[in-house]
Amino acid sequence: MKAMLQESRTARWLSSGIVALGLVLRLCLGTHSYSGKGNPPMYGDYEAQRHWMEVTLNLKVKDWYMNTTENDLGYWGIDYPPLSAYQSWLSGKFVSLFDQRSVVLLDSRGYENASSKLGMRLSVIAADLLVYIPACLALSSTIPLLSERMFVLLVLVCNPAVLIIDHGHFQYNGIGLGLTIGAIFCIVTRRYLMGSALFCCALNHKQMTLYFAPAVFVHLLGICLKEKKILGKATMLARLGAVVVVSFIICWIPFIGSMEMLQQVIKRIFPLQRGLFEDYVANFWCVSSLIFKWKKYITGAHLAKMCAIATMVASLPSLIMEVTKPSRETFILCLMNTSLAFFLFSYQVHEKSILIPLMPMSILMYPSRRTSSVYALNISLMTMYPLLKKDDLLGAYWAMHVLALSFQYFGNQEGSFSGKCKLTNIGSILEFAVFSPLVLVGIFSVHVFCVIAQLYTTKEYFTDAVIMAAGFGFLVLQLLIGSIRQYIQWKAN
Amino acid sequence: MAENNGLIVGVYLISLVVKVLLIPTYRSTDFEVHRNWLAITHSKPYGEWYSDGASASEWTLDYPPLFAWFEWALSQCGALVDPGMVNVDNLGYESDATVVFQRLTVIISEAVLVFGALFAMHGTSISKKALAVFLVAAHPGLYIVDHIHFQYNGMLLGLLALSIYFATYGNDALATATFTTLLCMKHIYLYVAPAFGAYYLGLLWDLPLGQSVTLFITLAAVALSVLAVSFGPFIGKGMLPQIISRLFPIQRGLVHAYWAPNFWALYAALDKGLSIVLPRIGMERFVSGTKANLTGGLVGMSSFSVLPEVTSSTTFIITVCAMMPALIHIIRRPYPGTLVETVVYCSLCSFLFGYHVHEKAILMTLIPMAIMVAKARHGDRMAGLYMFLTTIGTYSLFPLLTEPQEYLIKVFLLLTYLIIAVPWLMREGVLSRTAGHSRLEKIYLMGIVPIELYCSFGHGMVFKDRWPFIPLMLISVYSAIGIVYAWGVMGMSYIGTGQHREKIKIK
Repeated sequence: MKAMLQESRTARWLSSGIVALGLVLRLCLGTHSYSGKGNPPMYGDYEAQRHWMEVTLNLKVKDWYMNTTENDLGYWGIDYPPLSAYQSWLSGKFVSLFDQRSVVLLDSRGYENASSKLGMRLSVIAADLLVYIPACLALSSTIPLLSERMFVLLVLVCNPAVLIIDHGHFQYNGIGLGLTIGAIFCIVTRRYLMGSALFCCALNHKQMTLYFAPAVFVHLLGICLKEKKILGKATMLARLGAVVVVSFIICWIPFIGSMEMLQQVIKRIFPLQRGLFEDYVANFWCVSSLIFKWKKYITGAHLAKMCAIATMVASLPSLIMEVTKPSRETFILCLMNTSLAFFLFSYQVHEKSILIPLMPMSILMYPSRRTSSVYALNISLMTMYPLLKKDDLLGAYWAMHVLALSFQYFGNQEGSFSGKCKLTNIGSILEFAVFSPLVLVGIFSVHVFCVIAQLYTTKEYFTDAVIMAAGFGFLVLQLLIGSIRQYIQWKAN
Repeated sequence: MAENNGLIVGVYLISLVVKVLLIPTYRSTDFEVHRNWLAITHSKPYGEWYSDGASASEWTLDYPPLFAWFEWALSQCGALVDPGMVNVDNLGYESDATVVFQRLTVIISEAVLVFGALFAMHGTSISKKALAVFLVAAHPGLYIVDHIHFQYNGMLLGLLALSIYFATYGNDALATATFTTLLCMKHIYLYVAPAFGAYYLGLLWDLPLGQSVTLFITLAAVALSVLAVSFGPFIGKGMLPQIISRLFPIQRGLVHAYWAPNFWALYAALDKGLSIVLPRIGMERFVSGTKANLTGGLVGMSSFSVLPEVTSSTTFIITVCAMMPALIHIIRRPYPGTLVETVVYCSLCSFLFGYHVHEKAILMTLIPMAIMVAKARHGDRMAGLYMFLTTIGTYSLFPLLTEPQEYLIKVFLLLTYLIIAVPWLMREGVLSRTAGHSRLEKIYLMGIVPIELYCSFGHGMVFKDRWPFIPLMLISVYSAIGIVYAWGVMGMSYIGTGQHREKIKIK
């Protein structure tokens, strides 16, 4: 009894310490530069978010996605689903408390001021406090061993890659990721209806969360099919379906009035006129186009189809395993493998999308489930190097690398790098003996190489390409290890 | 908790990450002061470093010679990073490279403090070592003063810790060398010189005559050689009088522009209060005609309206009297374990009663106290007092940061420190759940919240721009009450039997 009391006291202390640390890191990151700072005419993501606040605060809902004189869709038109728009409205109200002039219709383009910056930064922190951090606390509570629970909480709450994108570059990924983490918590604790509702909200905040959709769908389908009678299966499926439909309807109420409006919103959310990939991203198409120029030989529509097929092929084994034998353990593995497959083979993937597969990878970093190494944080950070260099965030970038490295000093429980791990399967062996040292050396060499290369050539694409290739190699390895681990677990179930 | 050395590294790395993230925050004029010193030491020959007109800047070199050599060494690297930095004519030069470079020098030199803490914690468990590293490396006061405002206290406090613990572990020559080096880098550490002096006096008294004489000669030789190395070259150039006048400027007032939360702040507040109240009750003859001018003014000019004048000699005498109980105690019983307490107590006396004290000097008490507390073996009144003093001491440093951007940062640096440190101290058995802090202390600390709300928000809403000194005065006076209280608690233990304090004989 006394031991339990002591343990819960320790848990409270460590979790409050971790959350407080997370807040400090967010506040300090906020003092750094952001996307597109001082860079007219288009600026960057920071300006895009500010513009959305301007649009949602000043215009009627039916005009938010329409091209009007007051809403020029060419200048950062809203291209996220409705829940993002509602959130922009809320954030806008919050930011206007700090600086009214930052959200004035039409006149506030490119508005950059210390007080509005403070307001914007704090709005992201508020979103994290309301959505992301509670979700992380909930999910980590499902892990039985205290040290592992705290480790996962630390990696999730203080995730270097998410921190630097949300609180440096400037985005609201914490909301979508937080809602998904909340959904995972609900599903893992058998609250399936709540879980699907939360996941639908996540989808309606950021369409990138669709990378998780097949895994969630397949897991819930598998759960339905496990019901004993046909009637049982059907009712469960119907209930889940109803929750999904109702969630979507609630989010889309203002937009389902007319077909034209609906089509316009969908066109904004899924723009097909963009290319196979933008800038540099560590996925298959970008890396392989160093050798074979896809864009030159295949047209847009065919490219999209090719991507769809490749993605499906890559994710099918994992999905099939999950639908036949759904379980808590394999669910997160499935999420990781399918989102990785999507990241590697989808159409129009941004480098920021690495945050999506990174989330299940972060959950799976703790010793008894270990499927990804702490260095995954460093590698994901590295793949975003070109983006962060453009944002003038390199100081924060290196600090985040050190942050990720420091986590391994807290993860040294059973199954540590000191060799006390249970090398019971190929995945573990690959991971510890080969993976981790290779990864650390790899990141270091890549950066040293880039520095040297920059002395000889000003063509940045060269160094960016090397980074992407290295990141791609790691992610493929990770997919391999994850799939092996899922297979082993599936067999064991 | 993991019981391997990794924990210490992990704690330090995380505190390091926050320091690097603070690079773009507000910098005070101290940043330009140090950049100017980099320029002077790089561009001019050492004979001219202390001359008036060494650079066009208003900030002159007013630290002792070894610090000047430290800046010279830094400037050699700085010149490679950005030559503009070391140009004496580049007043206010603040290129990105300069900022990153100077901030990194503070961060890297702070390693001396971490090393000092680990050295002090020699022989304790890993968890305790990690606790010590956390208490000093993550101290919110250091973050505010060194890594935002900009100073090099981390390194200097590390030297202080090293000198204390060299002495504690019996390495007297090294202790003297380190402490003298410290004095030759920043002479403000004279505040704690009496502690060392009394300790060695007691030691020399205790030892048999032969050993005593040998020890005295060794220590004197060491101290004199360090002094010779630091001041010698400048004496050779005839710069000694100039240096002395820079190190000890006599024209300053009793209190700094922002009143350090010491006894004189209370004295001055009382004076102001009386100067307002007395005329109303018909006793204006006690109020002198001149308006109180406390921050500037020449020596001899009256600066208090009602209460008697306070000269620098007065403050010196009062400070020495305040230190007396502790000094007598350590002379009579020069046990090595008591050196650190005496240093802490003496620094607090100097802070409270000294002349023209800066609020940043509270760190000289807080950091050695942190190490002392981490090392304590059982439930100790000092641990509770440390958390109390650190909270109010850090709060008194808040007015150093005036921008809204740093507001939540400073608040959460303090809160995070408290959230992590207090339960950790309890787990180590250093802070007991019940005897740690009294109800009165808790109420007082809670009182910070309404005070802060008024000073940062309420005052502006009610009075707009009028009477801007009131919030500052309020913070200073409120903090002073707490700090004087802490001093009182510490002092009481010297006047009483002092039974609860450890007497460790380590030789």
